[in-house]
Amino acid sequence: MQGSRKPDDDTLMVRTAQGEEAAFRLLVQRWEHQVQAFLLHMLRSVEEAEDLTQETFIRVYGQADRFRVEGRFQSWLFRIAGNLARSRLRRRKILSWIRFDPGTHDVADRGPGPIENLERADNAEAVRLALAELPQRQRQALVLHRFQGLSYKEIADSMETTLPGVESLIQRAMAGLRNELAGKVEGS
Amino acid sequence: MKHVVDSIPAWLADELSDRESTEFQGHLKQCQACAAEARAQRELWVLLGDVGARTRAQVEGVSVWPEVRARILAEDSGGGWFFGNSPWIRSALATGAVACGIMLGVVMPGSRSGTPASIAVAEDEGLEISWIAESSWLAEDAAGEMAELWFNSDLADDGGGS
Repeated sequence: MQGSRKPDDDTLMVRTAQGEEAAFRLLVQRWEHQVQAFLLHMLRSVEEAEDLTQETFIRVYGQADRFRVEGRFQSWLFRIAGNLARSRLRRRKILSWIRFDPGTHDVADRGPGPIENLERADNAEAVRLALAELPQRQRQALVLHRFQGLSYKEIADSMETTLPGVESLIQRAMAGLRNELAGKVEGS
Repeated sequence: MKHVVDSIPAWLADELSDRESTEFQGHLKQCQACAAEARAQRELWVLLGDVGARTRAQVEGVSVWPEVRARILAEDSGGGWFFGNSPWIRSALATGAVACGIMLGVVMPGSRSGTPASIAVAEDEGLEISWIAESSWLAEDAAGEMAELWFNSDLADDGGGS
């Protein structure tokens, strides 16, 4: 993913901690789309995903001087993004309770309107919707692995769990998707 | 025969060791049920890859850098980052806060107990009243001790207020 002449993430973090703006900019531009895609899968809201992507990098900057150079920047980055997503989903849930909206749990726009029903014909959209129905940790593990390309070990680091834990989360996520998509997607 | 359905996601994710992978594929050749499940999950796996690519395409071309930079500069100029980026400053502030908490929780109750008035009385009456260790306030009979001191000094009628 990174060219051999480009500085690695750890180096950029060290330079960021020393106050080098160009290093931080490179880091943001290297990872922002992956973080935003991850948050989009988690939150299903473009605006919120963009907002939390910004927040993620602001936290990265704020904690740069405490970053430990261990070659695990990606896991750390997605841990921050994942924690922010979890907080946002919790807040949504609380707001939905306050507003007496029992239909809204952790998915902002899951009510199938007429347009959405048409979109359900699209397999990709059906998968996105099914993903949104998964329990949050299962979704996070599956998205980190299948969409962001993290290994089980990196996911375990990022989600502060064990390898068998990740394996189990992904297993259950796949089973949940299969159930959710049964009959909706060709070939599922 | 032990089925391998649980190992399908790890196999798709290329997370099985060589030995596990060989055993897994050997089982699929013998077990039609597991082979059918593996095919179905692989189709879903491919579909997920497609969804991931679509999502990445959706966010490509939009950079959050200008907003991130502006927010950091705004917070820095406003004394943001919790009074600075230095962990030493943050640690010092946190330690100070804890110390203040301890002072408020431990020292203040003693000073509210009327001790200054007691000292004034002691000076007037020639009584020796020593400072009571903080731990005695936590003793079960601390209140009893205080009441005893109070009445024994024949000062109860003064109300201890002045």
